[in-house]
Amino acid sequence: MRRTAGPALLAPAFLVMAAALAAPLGALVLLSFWTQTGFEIDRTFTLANYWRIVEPGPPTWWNGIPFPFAYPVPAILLVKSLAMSLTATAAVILVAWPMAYFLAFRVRRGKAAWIILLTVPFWTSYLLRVFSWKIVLGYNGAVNSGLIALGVIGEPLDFLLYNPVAVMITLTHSWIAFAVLPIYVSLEKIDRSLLEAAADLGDSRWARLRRITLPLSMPGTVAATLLVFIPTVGDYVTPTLVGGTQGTMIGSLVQQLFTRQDNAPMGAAVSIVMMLVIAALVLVFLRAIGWRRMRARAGA
Amino acid sequence: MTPLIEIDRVAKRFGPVTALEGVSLGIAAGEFFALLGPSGCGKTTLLRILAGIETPTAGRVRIDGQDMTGVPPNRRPTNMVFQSYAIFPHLSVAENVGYGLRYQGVRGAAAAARVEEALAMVQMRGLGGRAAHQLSGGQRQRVALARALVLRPKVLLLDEPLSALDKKLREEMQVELRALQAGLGITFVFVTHDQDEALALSDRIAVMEGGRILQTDTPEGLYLRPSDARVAGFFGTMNLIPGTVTDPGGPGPAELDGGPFGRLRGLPGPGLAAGAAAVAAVRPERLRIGGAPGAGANRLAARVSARTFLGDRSLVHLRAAADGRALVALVAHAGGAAAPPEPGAEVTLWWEAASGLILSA
Repeated sequence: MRRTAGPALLAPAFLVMAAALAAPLGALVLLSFWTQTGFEIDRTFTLANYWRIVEPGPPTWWNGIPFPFAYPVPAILLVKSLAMSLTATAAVILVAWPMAYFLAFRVRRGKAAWIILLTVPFWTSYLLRVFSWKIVLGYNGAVNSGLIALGVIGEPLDFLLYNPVAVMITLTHSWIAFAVLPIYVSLEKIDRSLLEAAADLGDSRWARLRRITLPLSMPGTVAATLLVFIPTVGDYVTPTLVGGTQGTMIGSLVQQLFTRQDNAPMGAAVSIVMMLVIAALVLVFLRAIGWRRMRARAGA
Repeated sequence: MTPLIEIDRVAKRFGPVTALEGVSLGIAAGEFFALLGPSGCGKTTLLRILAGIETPTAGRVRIDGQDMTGVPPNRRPTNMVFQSYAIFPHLSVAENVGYGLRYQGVRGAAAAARVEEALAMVQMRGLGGRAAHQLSGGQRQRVALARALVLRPKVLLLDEPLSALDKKLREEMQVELRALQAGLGITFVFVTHDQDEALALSDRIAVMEGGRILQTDTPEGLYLRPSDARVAGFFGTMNLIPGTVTDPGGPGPAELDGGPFGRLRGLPGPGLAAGAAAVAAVRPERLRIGGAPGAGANRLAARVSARTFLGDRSLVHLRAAADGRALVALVAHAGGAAAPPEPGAEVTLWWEAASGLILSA
C-alpha cells in the first residue's frame, strides 16, 4: 500500500503533464529539426533553423547594440523581450513586496478578505484585463480625456499606447497578484520574536527590515520573481494588443512565424532557443543568490 | 541606595484585558530576580515592558535613574533572552552572537574577539561557524544567552529561559546561569512559572497573580513569612484552616475563630483586620503529634489516614475530626523518637502559636 500510494497520487498530475506538456514539447523539438518548403514540410533532420538564428552576418544596430547576425530579428527580439520582462518583473516585485508586507504585518483582522480582494482582477479574463488598458491609455482613453478635461493638455498624448512602456505597464499590472502571494507567505512565516530580538539587540526599524525581514523573505521573493519573469518573456497577447509595432516581443515573432509567415519549423526553433536562454538565465540567477543555502535554512 | 530598576505603578491593558494593574517594584544592581506566577499573571508582560517591546498604559520604569518612557528597545541598557530563543535562522552562530556589536562601535577583529569570548562564556568556544539550523535546543539557548551578554547590558532579561529544555539540561543550565550571573555581576531578571526554579536561582522573587504582585521577598522569606494564603500555598506544603479574625494581634500573636476548630493563634501576617476572613497556616514540619502541648498551643483532633516512610522522616496524612479536612504532618525520627502513629489512630495535633501564622485569605 505504502509503496504504491506515492505513484498513485502522482499519476493524475503526471498523465495531464505528459499529455499537455511533454508531448507538445516533444513535437515542438521534432518540428524545429524539419524545414518548411513552400506549403510542404521537409522531414529530413537538419539544424538549419538553429543555424539561421545564429548565422553571422553584417551587424545590425539596435539601441546602440550590434547584432552581427544575417537574420538578427530573433536575437534582437529576444534581448528586447528579456529587458522588457526584467523591467516589468522588477516593477512587479517593487509594488508587490510592500503590499505583501502590509498584508503580513499590518492587517490583523480579515486577512482572508484582503486576499480575496487581491484575486478580484482574475474574475475577468486576461484578455479583458489587457484590453482595458487600451481604454485607459488609448488616444481617446481615460488618461487623455481626463488630462484634457483638467486642462493640463490640449491635444491627446499619442505616446501612451502602442510602445514598450505600455506593454511593461500592462504586464506589471497583470502579474502583481501572482507575486504578492508567495512573498506574503514567506513574510507571514517569519517568527515575530526574531524582529523583537533584532530591536532588542539595537536594530532600528530600517535596520531590522534590511537585516531580518528582507533576507528571510527571499525564498518567497525569488519564487515570485521567477513566477513573473518566466511567463512574461514569451507573452504575446499583451504586446499584440497594446504594444503596436514598437512593442513587439519574441512571442509575437513566434506567433507570426507559425501563422502569417507559415514557417512552423522556424517558429519552433525560436521557441526552443527562447526556452533554453530563459532556463540558463534562471539557473545563473539561482546560483548567484545561493538558492541551495537558502533552501537549507528554510527547511530548518 | 536607589534600586537599579524602579518600576512605578506600571499598568498594562490590552483592549478590555488588564495584564498588569499598578505594579511597583525595585530591583537592586547585581540581583538575580525572579518574576514568578502562573501563566497569564502578567509576568512576561512586565518583562517585555522592561525591554521596551511593550509600552505600559500607565506608570513608568526607570533604569539606572533614567526614565525609560518612550525609549525604544534598541536604546535601552537591557538585553533579552527570548523564550523561543529567537535565533536568526539565516545567520551563523558567530553572526547571531555579534549581531548587535556594530551599534556599540565594535567591528572587525575586535568584534570577532568579543564574540569568541562570549561563546567561551557559554561553553560554545569554536562553534561560531555553525549554521543556526544545526544547533540543538541547549545550544540555541546558549547562543541566545551569548548574543545578549556580549553587549554587556546593565540588565539581562530572561523569558522562561529553561522551559524548552529537558529536565537534566535544565538543571545543568540552572547551575551555569547562577555561576554566570555571579561572575559577571549583571542584574538578571527572569520570568518563570516554576517555583523550584525560582527558589534555586533567585536572590529575590516577586510572586505574581492576576496582574498584581502578591509578595516580594527572598526565597526564605517567602517560605517562612508568606504574606497571604495564596503565597503560602504556592511554595511547599502548607496546612490551612479558614476562619474569622478575632484579634489582629501585633506585636503579640493574632487570633482566629476557626469555627469547629475553636480559637487558633499564630504570628500575624500583614493586612489583618478584626472580623475579616483569614486562615491559620502551619507548615507540616511544625505540626506535632501527641506528646505534651504547651499552655498556649493550638490543638485539634485528627485521625491518621496514611503514612509515608521517607527514611529520616515520615509524612503523615491526617483528617481533621472537626470537618474532615486533609492535613499533613512531617515527623522526624531523630534521636529514637516514638514511631509515628498507625493509620486509623485518633491523635491530637498541636503547634505553638509562634510556629504558625494567621494570614489574610
